[in-house]
Amino acid sequence: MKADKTTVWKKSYTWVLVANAIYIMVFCLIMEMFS
Amino acid sequence: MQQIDWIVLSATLLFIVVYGVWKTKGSKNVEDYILGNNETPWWTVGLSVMATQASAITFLSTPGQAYHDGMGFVQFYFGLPIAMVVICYTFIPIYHKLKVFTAYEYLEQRFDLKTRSLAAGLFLFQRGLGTGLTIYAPAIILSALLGWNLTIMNIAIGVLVIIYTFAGGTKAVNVTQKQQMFVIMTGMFVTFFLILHLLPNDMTFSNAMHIAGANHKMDVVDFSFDPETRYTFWSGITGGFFLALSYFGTDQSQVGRYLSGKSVKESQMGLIMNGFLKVPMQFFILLIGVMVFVFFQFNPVPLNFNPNNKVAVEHSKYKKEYHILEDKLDKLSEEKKEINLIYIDHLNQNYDNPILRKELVALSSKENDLRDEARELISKADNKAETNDKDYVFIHFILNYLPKGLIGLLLAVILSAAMSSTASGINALASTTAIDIYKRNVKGEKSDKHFVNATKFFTLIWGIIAILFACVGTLFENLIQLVNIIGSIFYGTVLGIFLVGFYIKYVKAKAIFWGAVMSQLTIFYIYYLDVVSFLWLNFIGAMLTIFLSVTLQIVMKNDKIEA
Repeated sequence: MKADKTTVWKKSYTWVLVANAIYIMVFCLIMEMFS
Repeated sequence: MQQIDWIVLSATLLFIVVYGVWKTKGSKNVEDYILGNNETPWWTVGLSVMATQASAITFLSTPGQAYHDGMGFVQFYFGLPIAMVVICYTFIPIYHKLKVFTAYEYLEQRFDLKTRSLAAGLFLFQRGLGTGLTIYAPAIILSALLGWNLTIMNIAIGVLVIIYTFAGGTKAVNVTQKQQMFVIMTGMFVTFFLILHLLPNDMTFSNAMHIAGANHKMDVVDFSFDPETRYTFWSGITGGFFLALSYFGTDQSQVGRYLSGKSVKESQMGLIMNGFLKVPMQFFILLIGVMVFVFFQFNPVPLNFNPNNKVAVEHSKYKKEYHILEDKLDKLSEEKKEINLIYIDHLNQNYDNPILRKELVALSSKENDLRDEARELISKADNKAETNDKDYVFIHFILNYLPKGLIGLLLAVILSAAMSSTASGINALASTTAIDIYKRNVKGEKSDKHFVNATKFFTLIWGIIAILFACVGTLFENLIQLVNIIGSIFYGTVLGIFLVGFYIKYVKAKAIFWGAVMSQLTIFYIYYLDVVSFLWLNFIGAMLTIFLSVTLQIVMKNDKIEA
């Protein structure tokens, strides 16, 4: 049960990091379009 | 400042103070006063964490930074979301499980009282200085531009903060930070759209971005390994990560915000919210600075935005030379305006003219040369003058180009930001003094009410110390740099202690204490030798503490076996 909970959180945090990375990249690409 | 500005400014600030006191009056126990009775929902935790970090200097300096150097500064925040995940995964569950009031309380449970007192002491020294600065920094800039009395400003900001922080503790800090963030974001959005409105008529937002791009203001990511460049992708991911980890994970002014969360999950969600919103917020603030830059491509611009510097030159023998430079800048500005208008015209016909872009770069370079010459003259006129004017760019724009009423709102933004970070600082200093120093050393049984009163007393004392430090701020040269250096010197060791506590179970109390002491002394020596930029001292300090404590633990264990 505890291991399952940890796995769920690990997965959620991975998604948090991926989502962060994606939107930061989108922001950067928009800015770079004008540079 | 018109009457309407005064009304907007006073009404906003007074409303926040009165609301904070009224909403949170009557804390019955320490849990209520320091942890806000663990009733804070995740979005209030998130806003509170963001408001604590966003000091007045964030809103004064960051647009100025973008005005001069473009968007590159945002890279420094790239490591922050990763740090948030590490804190959510490791730090928060442990803090909640042990039901601690302060981060340093954990260290006694994991190691011993010595280590707890060492970390708490380092925090009190560093945050005590830093909190004075959060009052002093905006006060010195506003007093220079508005002619307000610096001491009265320091006292006014400090007293307003003390009133609600003293009355309601952590709950009051959290509640008022919601209002302050609302004022801050409203003010910044209104300003952004107003700048766009003030640009020439046939100019679209896309045109403005192209002009900024032509002047190299839109270069966000720098993958170079050049040690001379302060903000690169690599320094953001490594240095920014370690700085965020130590600041959000071990600094009580931040730990106190998320310890007040309703549950582990609510605290974690609050920090994840901060991770998601911090980078876009910095992008937005920097973009405002870039738009101010575009605005000044079509409007008269001063040689140096700090009015005190101009006064210093006007009263010196360099006055004539300075006027010659001003005339040159006026002519250059006219030339730039004309070329920019032709460039926009071409852009409107879907042609990004490369020749005009080159010309704009050449003119910008000439302008920078003129500014450098002006700085030299200012330094000659007054060798103690701070010639870097980035803190004054945005406030110059606010005071000279925003309409009546909005100036009051923007000043409320700056003072709200100052108050929010000062309140968190005082609240954290009082909690740490009461829990880690006073409660741990006081003899005999004391009631809960006694410790609430003690924390209130320490809130008042730290508030007064912060005001006093702000009032003598002018005695120190380059105060901001001083406090940043002090932060970098101590943060690394404290982070190292916590990382060993969380991840290296093998290391015990004696090894971590002496490892941390040796690491701190080495950091002092490295700083004295001046071989690396102070920004790296944080990372080095953390690594040294880990390495030395593990080594000491191995040596001590071997000694025991031999004995």
